[in-house]
Amino acid sequence: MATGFTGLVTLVLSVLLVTGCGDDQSQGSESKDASPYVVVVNNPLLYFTQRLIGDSVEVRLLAPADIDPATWRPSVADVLQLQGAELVLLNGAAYSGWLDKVALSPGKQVVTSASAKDRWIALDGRVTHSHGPGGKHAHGDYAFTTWMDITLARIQAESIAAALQQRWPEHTDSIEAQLRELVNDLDALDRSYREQTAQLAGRDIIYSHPVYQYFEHRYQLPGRSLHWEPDAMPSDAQWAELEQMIDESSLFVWEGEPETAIGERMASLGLAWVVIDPAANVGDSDWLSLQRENVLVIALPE
Amino acid sequence: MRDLLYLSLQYIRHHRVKLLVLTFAITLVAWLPIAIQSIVDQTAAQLLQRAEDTPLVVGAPGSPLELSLGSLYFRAKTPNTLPYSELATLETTGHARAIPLYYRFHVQDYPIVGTSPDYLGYRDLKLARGRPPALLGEAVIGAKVADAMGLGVGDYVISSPESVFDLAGVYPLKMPVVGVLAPSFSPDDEAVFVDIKTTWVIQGLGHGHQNLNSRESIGQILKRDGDNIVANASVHQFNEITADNLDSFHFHGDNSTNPISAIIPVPANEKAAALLLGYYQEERSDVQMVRSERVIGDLLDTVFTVRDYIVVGIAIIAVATTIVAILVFYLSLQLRRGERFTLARIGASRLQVHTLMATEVIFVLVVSAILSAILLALAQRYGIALLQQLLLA
Repeated sequence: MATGFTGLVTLVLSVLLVTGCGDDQSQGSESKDASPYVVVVNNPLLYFTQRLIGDSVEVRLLAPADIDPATWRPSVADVLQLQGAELVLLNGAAYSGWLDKVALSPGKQVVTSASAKDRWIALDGRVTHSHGPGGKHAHGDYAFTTWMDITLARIQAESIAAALQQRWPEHTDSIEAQLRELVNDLDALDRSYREQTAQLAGRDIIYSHPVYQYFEHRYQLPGRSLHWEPDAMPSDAQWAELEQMIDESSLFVWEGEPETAIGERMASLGLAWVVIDPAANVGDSDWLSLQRENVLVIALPE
Repeated sequence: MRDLLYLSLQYIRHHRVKLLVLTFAITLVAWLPIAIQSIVDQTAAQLLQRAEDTPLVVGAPGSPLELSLGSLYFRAKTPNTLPYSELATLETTGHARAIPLYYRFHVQDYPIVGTSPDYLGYRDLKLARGRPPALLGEAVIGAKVADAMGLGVGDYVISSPESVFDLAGVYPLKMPVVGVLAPSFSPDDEAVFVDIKTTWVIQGLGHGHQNLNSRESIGQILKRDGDNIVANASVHQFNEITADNLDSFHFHGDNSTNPISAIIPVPANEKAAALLLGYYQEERSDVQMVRSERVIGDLLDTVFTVRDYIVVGIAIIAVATTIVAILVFYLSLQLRRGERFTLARIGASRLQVHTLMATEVIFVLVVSAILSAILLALAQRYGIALLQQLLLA
């Protein structure tokens, strides 16, 4: 009898213990990275942000230096870095095609060219398709090298400054001061581009890649675009196609310095070329320096 | 003492039916009011805590109660929706951060909650294993979902079709489990969390399919009209998002028009909350902002009223039962007069006689108390969840 009673008491205590323990579990938040950082998606945004915020906040460009940030795709580890960022500064104009494929807080995203969306250049020749109940739809959107119109680059810089000031109001004054200097530099760059590109008016421009739409529009240098890589010798068919296109007024614009053999073959065709580097990814110099180099070479085609 | 115990047990055994009936009657009238009071109070406290943690909710016009229950407990079946652009509108006010919720779909009986990575931090949810969702199609499951379905990191959950007859509608999406949440003792334990865009894929607003420009797709092309390709319905659509086909997933149209069930605003302070409330009350008739605490409070007021009526009714029954029990004990003592006389004649002391007589009462009261404690514990363990389900259904 005594054993039975003890068992009963034990059972009651056990039941009470089990039911009572639930609500007392601690639920702390996961530890966060102590040092805040900002993630940007290309080199111009990296340059603008670093100039604006200085050393106060770390600025990260996750795309490796040897990959075009426009074609870069984040790994899971990269996405977790993006999720941990205070701000994710995006280029806009469908630059980051991976954005729809990752989990990222909308409140952290700043589309730096959003206020100039009416100036985004829609791409022609998109393939649309329809199947099933979804109706007709297309993949692809806008030309994305917005910063090659320096007035758009300025808008992007101003947008970054506003986002940084909102996030770190204690740095408002210093960001404002840095923005004034940056805007002066960009305005000067834009003037230089206009002056130098004016000398190319009337020339037949052939671009190595379709990434100069904003540059063409801003500086009145319309041209035809190919898909040539500066480090890959074009095929004979491509050379034949090029020969059909060119005349004595033609100027070939490369994204990067072409291989010597390619340059020599162009010279043999009597085709002048220059390098106008959009500087989408980090290089030997900062973005502004690379743009200034572009300005210098425009008037001196080889 | 042993003799006394023996006699007591023999008496209880002989009158077991009478004593059992008495015991159960007293157990019920003792347990019921305490249990009801306790369950209702604890349920109310839990519901109110969730509402206090989520003081404001934005949603489409309609029932504030349904919006609150849906946003806090993911219970609404087919909620009215807002366009995703409302999230940006809210954030543009500068008064609050915004967390989207879309809780239309399910994995079996567990709601799939499409949200942003901010949600886990907002609810202070910890991961027991794995990591948060990073890519489209990845899922993190609550602790109870993991236990009930026997799932862990590396397993899969599959969204349930809304209707078995909807053959041409939404395909189930197979989603890898990349994380399991630690128990939070909240509705989050019974939910499957994905990125908001994943719920749009489940709905069919986004999809991935084979490349229609590839040679393999020639048999499925009905018409090429310039840049437009019309394919038949046999185009292979992916029902699982993998590293290999992730790039093929895309959304039709502008994501800002895609649906969400609700938005949880996270204002920086009370002033910002008041300004935000003012904005929605004064300037927006197409969207409603509800104060969850007030809505849940109104619901609980009804529950409290019902509880009070029940407790009063049971209290009256308890009084009647107590009177009947006293009568039974009194009559029993009267019937045992001869037994007391015999005990006295064979040498039992007055204390022993009185103790033996009291055994009947003590037995009934002690057993009733123990049974009441067990039932109360069980009620607290299962009754709170049951009442919550009844209230939220």
